[in-house]
Amino acid sequence: MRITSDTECAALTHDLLKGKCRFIANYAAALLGCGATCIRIEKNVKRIAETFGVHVDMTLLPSHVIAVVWDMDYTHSYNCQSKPIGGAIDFSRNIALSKLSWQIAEDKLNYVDAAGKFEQILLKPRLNKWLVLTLTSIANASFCRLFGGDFNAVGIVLFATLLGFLVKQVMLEDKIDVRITTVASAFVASVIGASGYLFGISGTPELALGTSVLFLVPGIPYINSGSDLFAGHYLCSMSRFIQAVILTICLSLGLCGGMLLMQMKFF
Amino acid sequence: MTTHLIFTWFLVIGFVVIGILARCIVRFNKTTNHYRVVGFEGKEDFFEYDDDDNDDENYK
Amino acid sequence: MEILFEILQDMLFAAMAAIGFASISNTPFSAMKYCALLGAVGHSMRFVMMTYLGVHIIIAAAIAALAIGILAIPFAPKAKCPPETFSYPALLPMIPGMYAYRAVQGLVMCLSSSEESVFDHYFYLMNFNGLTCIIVVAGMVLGVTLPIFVFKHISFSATREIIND
Repeated sequence: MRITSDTECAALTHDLLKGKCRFIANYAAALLGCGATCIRIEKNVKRIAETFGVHVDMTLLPSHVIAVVWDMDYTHSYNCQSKPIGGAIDFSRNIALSKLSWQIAEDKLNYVDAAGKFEQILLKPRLNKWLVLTLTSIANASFCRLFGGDFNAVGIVLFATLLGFLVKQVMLEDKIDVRITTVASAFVASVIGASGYLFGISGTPELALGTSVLFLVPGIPYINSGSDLFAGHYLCSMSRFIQAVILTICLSLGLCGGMLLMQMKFF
Repeated sequence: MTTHLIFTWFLVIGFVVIGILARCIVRFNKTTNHYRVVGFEGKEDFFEYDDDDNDDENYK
Repeated sequence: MEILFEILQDMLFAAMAAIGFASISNTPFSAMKYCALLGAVGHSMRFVMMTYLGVHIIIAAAIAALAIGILAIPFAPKAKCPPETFSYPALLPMIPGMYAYRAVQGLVMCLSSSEESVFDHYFYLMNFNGLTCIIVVAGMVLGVTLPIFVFKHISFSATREIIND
């Protein structure tokens, strides 16, 4: 009788711990995948673990999260590894997941309800892609103006970004590698950006060419890597930095390809 | 020389536009071949119907 | 009067650029107005410092980024978003693209040169532009991240729902 209740008790503890550990690992992986800084992931997970009544030790690796969960007396433990899903930066998901961690802490949610809310957050779609296309084209055209381009150059950059970003969207929807997508997109944008030289319609053709590919620069991974550096997560910081550098190199390759095709001399 | 470059320019844009249109048309054709099926548990399920291939592997 | 018009124009275009780059990262609409405001303020500060006060780009960019970082902190609890949601996209219009291009151009030209003097000239250009670009970006990252770590309590409780009794 005693043995059975002990066994049952142990099995219950194990199941609870397993559920909490899986939730924490998946939560941290989702935050990592949407481009949150490592310190944010740490603080959110710590808050959740305190509410669940467990100790958690987390290892944040560039493409994996390993969570080890102990009960309060350090007698039972469970560990779980999770891979981030999706690689695109998503601030809406970041905000929703951070909010969820506060909800768990303040409403004292159990891990089953929390997992339900977590699944809801993951199902939310991104912004309308046509809206993003329009806003990005306008943004890059404003960029050209900020660098001092005349209005014809701004128009060229608007058209270049429109087509370049459309190519990027279509290729990413087909799950083509993001590096090849960047090269292709930069190539198309730079060919159109060269029209200032080709048709002689702009007074500042070099600015049109130069700014036509700037929408592809991975700015946020650079900044995230800086934040991880300050927080001491050197591995994640280096991995994000190298990923951003590779995308920048791909961008330059596409730009050089476009300039070579249009036989542009370097500005 | 410049005419040749302008021709190349139009060629690139033409390729890109036609490529995107072709991709959108192919994708649109695939989605309109979906059948709505009520599965065993009464839940609706979508699966792709491929004209060329009648293997069972096409069905989820 | 002309100075004011130029600054306003700079603010407008920087705001539009910040909104566009924020939409790529799927920022919610409620946060976009703060992105626009911070982008406008930061970029116009850098513009004023570089054009009218003659400050070097590195220092101007770092100060502007610090201003963006500090301003993002009080806005974060208002918008119920982490401060990096609006400060990171607001920083993107300030990335020095032209320096990066000239660095890559210098690299390609110096590799395809045959004389030492020509190589030296392009090598100098590559290093000058490359180092400026790297240090400007490093300064901006430092400026925008520092306030988040200094005001840790506000930064990491911005998404908390405060229920007023």
